[in-house]
Formats: sequence, C-alpha cells, structure tokens
Amino acid sequence: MDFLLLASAPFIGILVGLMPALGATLLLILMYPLLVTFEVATIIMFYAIVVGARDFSGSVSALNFGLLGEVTSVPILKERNTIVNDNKNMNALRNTMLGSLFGAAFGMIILWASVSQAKHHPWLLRSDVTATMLGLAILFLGVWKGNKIWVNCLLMILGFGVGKVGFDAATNKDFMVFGNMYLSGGIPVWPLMFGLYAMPMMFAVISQSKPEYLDVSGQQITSPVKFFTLLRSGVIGSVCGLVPFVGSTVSSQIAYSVEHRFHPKDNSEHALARISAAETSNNAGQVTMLIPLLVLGIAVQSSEVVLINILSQVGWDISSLVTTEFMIKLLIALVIGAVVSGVLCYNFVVYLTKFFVRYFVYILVLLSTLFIANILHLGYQADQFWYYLVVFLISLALGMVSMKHGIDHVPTILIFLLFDSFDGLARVIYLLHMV
Amino acid sequence: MTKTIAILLLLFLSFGVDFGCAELYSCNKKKGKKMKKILLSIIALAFVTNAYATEILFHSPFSKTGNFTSMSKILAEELGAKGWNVDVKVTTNAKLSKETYSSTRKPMILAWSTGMSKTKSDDVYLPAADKDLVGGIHWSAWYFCSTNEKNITMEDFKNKQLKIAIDLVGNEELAVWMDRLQKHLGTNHTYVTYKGSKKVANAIFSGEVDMGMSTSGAAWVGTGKASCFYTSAPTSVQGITAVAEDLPKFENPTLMLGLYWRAVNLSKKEMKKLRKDFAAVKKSSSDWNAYMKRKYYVYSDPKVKNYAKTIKAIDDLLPN
Repeated sequence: MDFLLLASAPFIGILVGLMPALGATLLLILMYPLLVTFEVATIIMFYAIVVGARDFSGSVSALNFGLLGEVTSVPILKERNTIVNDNKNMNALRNTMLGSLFGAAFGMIILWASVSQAKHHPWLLRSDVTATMLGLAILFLGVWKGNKIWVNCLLMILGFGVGKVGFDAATNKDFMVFGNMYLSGGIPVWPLMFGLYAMPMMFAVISQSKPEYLDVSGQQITSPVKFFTLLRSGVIGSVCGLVPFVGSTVSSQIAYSVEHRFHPKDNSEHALARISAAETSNNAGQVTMLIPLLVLGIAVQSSEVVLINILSQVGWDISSLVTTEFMIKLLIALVIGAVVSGVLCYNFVVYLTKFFVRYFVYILVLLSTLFIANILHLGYQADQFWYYLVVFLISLALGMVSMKHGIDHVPTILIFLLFDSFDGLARVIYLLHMV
Repeated sequence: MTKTIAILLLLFLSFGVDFGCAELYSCNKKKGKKMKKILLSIIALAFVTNAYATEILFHSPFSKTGNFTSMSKILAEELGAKGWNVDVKVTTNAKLSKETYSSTRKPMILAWSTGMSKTKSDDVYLPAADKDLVGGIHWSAWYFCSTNEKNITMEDFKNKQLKIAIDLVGNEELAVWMDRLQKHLGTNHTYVTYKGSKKVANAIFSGEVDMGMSTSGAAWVGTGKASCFYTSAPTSVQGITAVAEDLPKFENPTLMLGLYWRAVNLSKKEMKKLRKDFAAVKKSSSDWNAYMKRKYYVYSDPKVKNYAKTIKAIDDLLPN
C-alpha cells in the first residue's frame, strides 16, 4: 500500500498543479482520512513528491491553458504571450522542467546538510523557538491574501476558539461544552476542515470555466537552458524556502526579478531564461521548506500545518524519525518523483492536457463524494457518526455563506490546526522564564 | 455479519440436503432421520459457536496513536481470534466513553486508566473497577530524567531548586504523588506543565528544563539517550534506583501508570471466559509481549482480585 501511495504521488501532484485553486493544502485536507492510515515516513515522502510534481505541472497549466494552477506560476503567466506568439511553448516546458529538476536537486543538497547538522543543535526544540515560529505564522496569516487584515484577525480568533472547545485535561476545565458529552471531546478536525474549507473550494473549482486545449505538438527546441541562471535561482529558492508561509510563494517572484537584471529584453529567449529562473527557485524552495518541518517539527507552509496535524494523528516522533535511512529514502523518493513528474509534464504533455480537459469536473466530483463518505466512516469508527455529520453540515453551511461573501477560511483552519502548538505555550514560557 | 453468514450457510445446506434427497437419492425414513440429525447438529453447533461471538463494543478513550490505544487494539484483535466479536471504537473522548459505559445495556469493554481524573467530582470520574474488572493491567513506572550533559543526580534533586517538565494530561495522580515527595524531601522544585509526553521529551532534550518526568526513561537509559536517577517502580529498573529503595520512610513510594480493561453486561460465564482469554493473550500474544518489552512495562500482580485492590487503593487517594 505504501508503494502504491508513493507511486501515485507524482500523478496526484500533477493533477493539483493543473487545477486552479486545488492547492496542496486542499489536497491534504481531501486526503486526510486516507493518509492517516499510513506510516509517518511514507506520508512525508508522499507530501514531498506531491509538492514537487505540483510545481512541474503548474507551469504546464500556466503555459498551455493560461490558468494559474499555482501562485508560483505567476511569472510564467506574465511571459506567456511572448512565448506563445513565438511558438516556444515546448521549449519553455523543457527549460522549466530542467530548471525544476536542477532546483529540486540543489534543494536536496541543502536539505541533507541542514538536517544532518541540526542533530547537533537540540536547542532548536525549545519552546521559545516554537513560539517565535508561531508568532511569525500569526503575522503572515494576518496578511493572508484572501481577506482584509481585520477579517484575518477575526478568523484566527474563531480558529482558536473552535480549537479550544472541549475538556482541557491540563486545567481540568470545560470550554463551550454545555454539558454535551460529544463536545467534551472537542470539535473533530476532518468534518470541520472539509465542511468549512475543502467542500466550498471544490464547488469553486468545479464552477470555474473549463480550460481550453492548446496544441503544442510539432514545436522545435531552439533555446537551451542557462546554467548560471539555474545556479543563482537555486540559491535564491533554497533560502526563500525557509521563510515561513510566504517563502516558496515569493521565491519564484524574487528569482524572476533578479533574472530580469541579467536577461532584461522583451523577447522569447530572455523570457525563457526568466521563467526557468522562477521555476528553478520555486522547486528548490519546495525542498528546503522541509527543513523546519524535519528539524523542528514546525510548519512553514499552510499545507505543512495540515501535514503536521496528519502526522501527529499517526504518532509522529520527530526525534526518532529523521534518521540517515529516512533521509536516504526521502531523497530517493524526491529524485524519482521529480524525474517522473518532469517526464510526464514534458514528454506526455499532449496526452496529459487532453485527459485533464476531458475529465476535469468528473475527477473533482468523484473525489468529493469519496472523501465525504470516508469522513463519515471515520465518525462511525469513533462511535460519533451523527456528531461528525452535524459538524460537517454546520461547517459546510458556514463555509458556503463565507464563500458567498468572499471570505477565505484559511486563517481559521490553520489556527485551528495549530491550536495544540499554541495551547499551553504561554504558560510554559511563563513558568520557564518568570518563575 | 458472522451470524448472517452462518444462517445463510445453514439455509443453503438445508436446501442442498433436500435437493439431494429429492433428486439424487431415494428418500426413505431412515435417511430422513439421519438428515434431521445432521441438521439439528449443525444448528446446535451454530449456537455453541455463537455463545462467545456476542458483539461487544470496545471503547478506547485515549489518543489515537498513544500506547494505551495501541495495546487495546492488540487486545481486541487477539480476543477476536479467540471468538469474540469485538467492535473497537477509538473515541478519544473520556466523557463519551464513560457515559456510554455507564448507560449502555449492551455488552461493552472499556479501556481505562488510573490517571483519568484529579478528583472524585470530575465529570470523567469512574469509580475504580471491581467486579467489572477484566484484568490484565500493565504498569509503567515514572522516571526522573535529564540529558546526559546535565546529568541531574539524586543529590541535585534533594538539594537544588530545579525546573521539572511534567505531563499532567491523563496522569493526574502524578502531581499528587510529586507533591508528597517534595514535602517529604523539603524541596521546592517548579513544575513546568506540558500537554503530552512528546512535549515533555522535547523539553528535556532541548535543555529548557533541568529534568523531566517520563515513562520512557528506562528505554532512554537503555539506548544511552538520557540519564535517569529515580524511578517510581517498586524496584530498580535498568540500574535506575527506585524511590522506594532510596527513601524507605516515604509513604506509598510506588507510583505506576495503570491501564486496565473493564466490561459490563456480560453473563457470569462470559465474564469468566473473557478474563481467561485476556490472561491467555498476556501470556501468548507475541505482539503484546513485544510491546511490553519495548516499553519496559511491568505487571504488578497477575490475580484479578489483587489488581482490583491496587486500583481501589489509588482511587482512595483521590480527593473528593
């Protein structure tokens, strides 16, 4: 089963990258019930391959459909007209594919070095380090792009409040339980996330206009990829990947801007260099963003918050996980994932895009149905079927109303998922430093 | 499900026998009697095998990935292999499990721990198991540990003022016991309370506290990961001195984290068989024993009656 999951990861990642708005966060929420049945190491490898593959196909989506599959593909969209008008689509796909492979490899070297060094710095596990990272998380969630700042603040308070519902064994007190034995156990994660965020997002994706197919067969490769472009972009991306929440998003933009200085002309040759830089940087960042996760157990991406929640459900123990054996497996998985994704996105791009255009809606409907059934099954397994159903329906109603008013519930969900990390941290720091 | 399959099989057999009789053989009275006998035997057999296939709800209110749930899952699986029809529900909700256990009229097994409540007036308080005790309690002692670099010793503990990481979730009796120990020694250590054993381990290894209380201490010493100087076990474990041995005047020096299984709505005969099967699981299950070994868990007393007394003694110490 583990092999099957890992083998499917590049395909799933490509699907995520091709579909606008279906990001890694939403994917993990959708796959939550399934992923909790796997081992910690397998889930991390799956995640790493998926985000890598997603970035590969994000460029396909941007180049061939003019759709923003991933925010990191904005530079490609900017250069799309120049490239399409010059019939350089395949050349662009090839260069970005090679750039992505180089970026991923560069990121892996940094990842390996950092993780092996971090073992000698156990202070990284201190509560004040965690608190600093969480402080940064709040700061970035405060300026989350989907909403106004005050709305984000309210949503974060809502997320914290929902996370706090239930019996607190540390203080021996109930919060918003009203004598209800189900509420005593807290609000279940899956039905809430799915109802409040995932399902409304799926509706949004389904209701989007169907992408149009652009024929790229028969185009020639005339502009080779530039090594120094890849090298400097790899460095930029690797550093940016470490910045919480915005790192990988801005990495492609920064590398793109830097490359503009080296290749400023408004022709397809320079445009290709600029988008190669953006994709190289993006892929390097996607690998190095795993460093805080593996070393500190801290998320620096919204999708990683969900990932950590999944990992904690299956008994995550960071101190015993990051062994040499695990790191070798992870790197092998990343290499295979990157190569498979690269080949699929370049060599099979014609078939891939045709398939995507034809089955776009069906895939989403099937996935939604499957995962609703799975969530209810999990409720049944916990002897709380009706409770899960009620939570799901209330969350769904709230999610749909919010979507109608343009409210993005990412801050709510992320603070809700981070609640365990927040909870009691202030008390611990007070006891450590004030008493 | 098993029942349905058995009934369908029976029906199929009955028809099969009838058709056979009508079409393949010439039916005479003797054969008819024989057939009746076979059918009755099958029905009787079905009922006999069904006696211990009563569906039993099995609640584990602990964390999905914790040791207690893992052990409960092993137990449920082994009981299933012994003919019990166990329906495991990991509720992660102590109140829900307690309420279900108190109100259900159907057979139910509940995994419970000695450290579930701070006082007898808590919502999740359940009086100690007695006649409903299935038994098989395993006990894991607490260990006083620090990093190898800090290497906190017994003398440091007795003479210095330390910051101690402690996990009070589901270990309520630990705070009471530590208070008594501090009073006995006249120390004034500060407790830094964390939520969950993993956070305590992080606190110890990051060095943000001087030492911490963990049930993994023996394993850490075994792998050289940390150094531990005291244990609340009755005797030394892995060379770690027992509080009971070092402080003979300290009243109730043994503190073990206890997990036990209790059952309701079973007949006397079923309860007897359940206890017997449970004891057999402890003896013969390789998964169970591997878990016990890996976690350095120890049994206290193998007799169910004595288990009940030990639980009651802990329960008696809880304030109202």
